[in-house]
Amino acid sequence: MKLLSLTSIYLAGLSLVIFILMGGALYLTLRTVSNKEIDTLLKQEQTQVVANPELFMVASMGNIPFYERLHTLNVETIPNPSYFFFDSTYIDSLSSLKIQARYLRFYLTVQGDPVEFTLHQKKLSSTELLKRISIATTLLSLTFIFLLFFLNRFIFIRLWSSFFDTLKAIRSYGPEQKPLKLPDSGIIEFHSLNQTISKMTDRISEMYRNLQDFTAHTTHEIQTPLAVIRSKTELLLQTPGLTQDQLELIGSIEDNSRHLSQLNRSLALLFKIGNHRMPESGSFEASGMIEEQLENLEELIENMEVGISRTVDSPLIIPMDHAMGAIMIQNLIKNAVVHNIPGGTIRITLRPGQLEVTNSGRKPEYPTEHYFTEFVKGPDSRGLGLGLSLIKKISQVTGFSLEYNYFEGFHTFRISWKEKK
Amino acid sequence: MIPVLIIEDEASLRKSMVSYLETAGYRCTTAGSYHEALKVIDLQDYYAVLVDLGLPDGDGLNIIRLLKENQSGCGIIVVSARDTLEDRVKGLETGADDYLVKPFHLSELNARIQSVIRRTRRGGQMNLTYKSLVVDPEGKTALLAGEPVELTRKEFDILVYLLTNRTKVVTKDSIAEHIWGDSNYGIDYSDAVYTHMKNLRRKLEQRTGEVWVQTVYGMGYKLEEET
Repeated sequence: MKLLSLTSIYLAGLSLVIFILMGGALYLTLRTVSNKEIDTLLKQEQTQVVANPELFMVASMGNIPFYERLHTLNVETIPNPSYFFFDSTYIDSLSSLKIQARYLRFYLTVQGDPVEFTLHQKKLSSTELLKRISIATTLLSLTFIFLLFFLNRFIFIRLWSSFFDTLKAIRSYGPEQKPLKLPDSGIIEFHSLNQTISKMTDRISEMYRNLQDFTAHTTHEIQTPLAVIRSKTELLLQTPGLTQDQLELIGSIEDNSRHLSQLNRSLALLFKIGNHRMPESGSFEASGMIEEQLENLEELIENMEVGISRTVDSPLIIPMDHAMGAIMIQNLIKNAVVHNIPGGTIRITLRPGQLEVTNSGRKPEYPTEHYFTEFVKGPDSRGLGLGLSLIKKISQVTGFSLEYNYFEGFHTFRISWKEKK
Repeated sequence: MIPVLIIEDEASLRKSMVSYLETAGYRCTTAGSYHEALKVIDLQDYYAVLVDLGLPDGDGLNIIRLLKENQSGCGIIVVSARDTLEDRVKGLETGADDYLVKPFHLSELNARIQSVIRRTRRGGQMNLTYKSLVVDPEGKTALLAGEPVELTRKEFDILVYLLTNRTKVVTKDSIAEHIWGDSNYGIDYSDAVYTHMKNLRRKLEQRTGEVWVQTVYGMGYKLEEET
C-alpha cells in the first residue's frame, strides 16, 4: 500500500476515535454545566420558599410562578442533610410524556411541623443531548477528515518530493553505473539518507570494479599457466617407451587441465553475461543454428541412439545477439542429449515466440530449481554443471522467459520471447 | 626446415613450442618481448609468425601491422589468452590469418601453422605424402597408390591432422578440439573420436593390409614411422 494512502487511513481512523472520545467528553461536560445551571435556578427558588414557607403551604397560591413545580409533604422528622439534589422523571399531565427533571428536596419547620419541599425543573433529556452532540460531532469529523485528506496529500507531496527523487534514482541504479550523485535536500533526514545512499553506491561501484578487474585478470592470467601445463604434458607424451602407468598419469593431468580451462572460460562467460558485458540485442536465424548444433553433436546422438524429431518454422528470427543465441541453443540441445537415456528421444519445437526442447530422461533427483544453480550435475555427468546456469543467465539479461517442467519421463525446457511487430 | 618466428613472453611456453616445432620440421626464431620482436622481425623471410597479443612492453597488434607492411608472404597466427569475439575480430582485422586461444595443444598449433602456410604460399608442393598415400588438404582428396579413398569430412580432417603431426603422439582431446572446436564444454567426444578413427583405419587397412595408425594406450594415436 502506498505511504500516502496508509497515512490517510491512519489519520482518518485516529481522528474518528478522537472525535468519538471528544463527543463523549462534550456530553459529560454539557450535562454537568446544564445541571449546575438548573441547580442554581432551583436554589434561587428554594431561597424564596425559605423566606416565606407558610405562603407556599397554602394550596390556592396560584400566582406563584413555580407553584406547580413545588410539592409539599408533611414528615415526622427533618433528616440530615436537610437538602439534596437528584434526577428523576415525571409524567407530564398534558402530553402524558415522560419528562426528565432535576429535583431539589429540602426540609423546613413550618409552624412547628417538619415539612418536606420538593422542587423540580424540567431539563434537556440525555438522549436529546446525545443526539445533538452526535450530529455535531459527525459533521465536524467528516469535514475535518475531508480537509485532512487534502492537506495530507498536499503536505505529503511537498515534503516527500526529495525522497521520491532519491527513490527514482536508486531504482535506475545498477552497480555497473557511476556512483549516484543525489541532490541536497533541505530536510535533515532526507539529506542524511541521500548522503548515506551516495556513500553506499560509491562503495558498491568500487567493489564491483574490483570484482570485475579481479575476474578479468584471474580468468585471463590462468590461461597462460594452463597453456604451459598442457604443452608440457604433450611434450612428455612424446617421450619414447612410456609405461602404461605413466601414460595414465599424463592422461589425468591432461584431463584436469582441460577441465580447469573449460571451467575457467565458462565462469568468465557466465560472469560476462551476468554483468551485461555481452551484446544483448541483435537477431539470428534459429532453424539454421539448431541444425548446426545438432550436427555438432551428431556422433553423441548416434552413440546414444537418440531419436530427434523437429517441428521447426524456418526461417525464424530470434531477437537475441548471435553469440548469446549460439550459447543458449548449444546448451539446450547439449543438455537434452547428455541427460538423455539410451534409445531416448528429443523433440525440438520452434515457432514464433517460442523454442521448446523436450527430452526423455530419468526422473529428477533434486528439486528441479537446483538444475539452474551453478555446479549442480547429474550423478554420472562429465560436464561442468554450468550449461543450465548459462541458459538461465542469458534469459535473465535478455528478458526471455525460461520454464522447465518434468512430466512422466520427459524434461521440457521452454524459452519464450516477445515477437517484434 | 621451415622458418617460423615465435613471439611469446612466457618463457616456459615458448620453450615448449620450440621444442615441439623443431622436431616437426621447423626452424624457430624466438622473441620474448615486443622490443626483441622488433629486432628479429626483418632478419629473414618467415613462413609463419606466432604473435602473443599480451606482451608486457608493447602491443602485439603493432607487430602484425609491421609484418603486413614488410613481409606480405608470411602467415600470421595470434596466440592469445583472450577469447572474446571482439578480440578475435580485432586480431583478424589487423591482418592476422588465424587466432589460437590459450591453452592450446601443440599438435593443434602445428596444424594451424601448416594450414596458414598452405593458404599464404600457394604454388608450393602442398600435398601431404605418407608411404603410398597422397593427400591434398585444400582439394580435399586422398589418393592411395593413385586411387582415391572415400572418406567422410571428419575422417579426412583427422587424417590430415595425423599426417601434419606424423612424428607425434596426438591425443584424443586434441583431435576432438580440432574437429568440433573448443567451445563444446562438458561433452565427452572420446567415443566419437574412436568411431571415426576406427572407420578411417578400416578404410586404409582394407587397401594396404597394414596397420598405419597406432593406438597409444588411453591417450591417443600415432602414425607408424615411415621407413
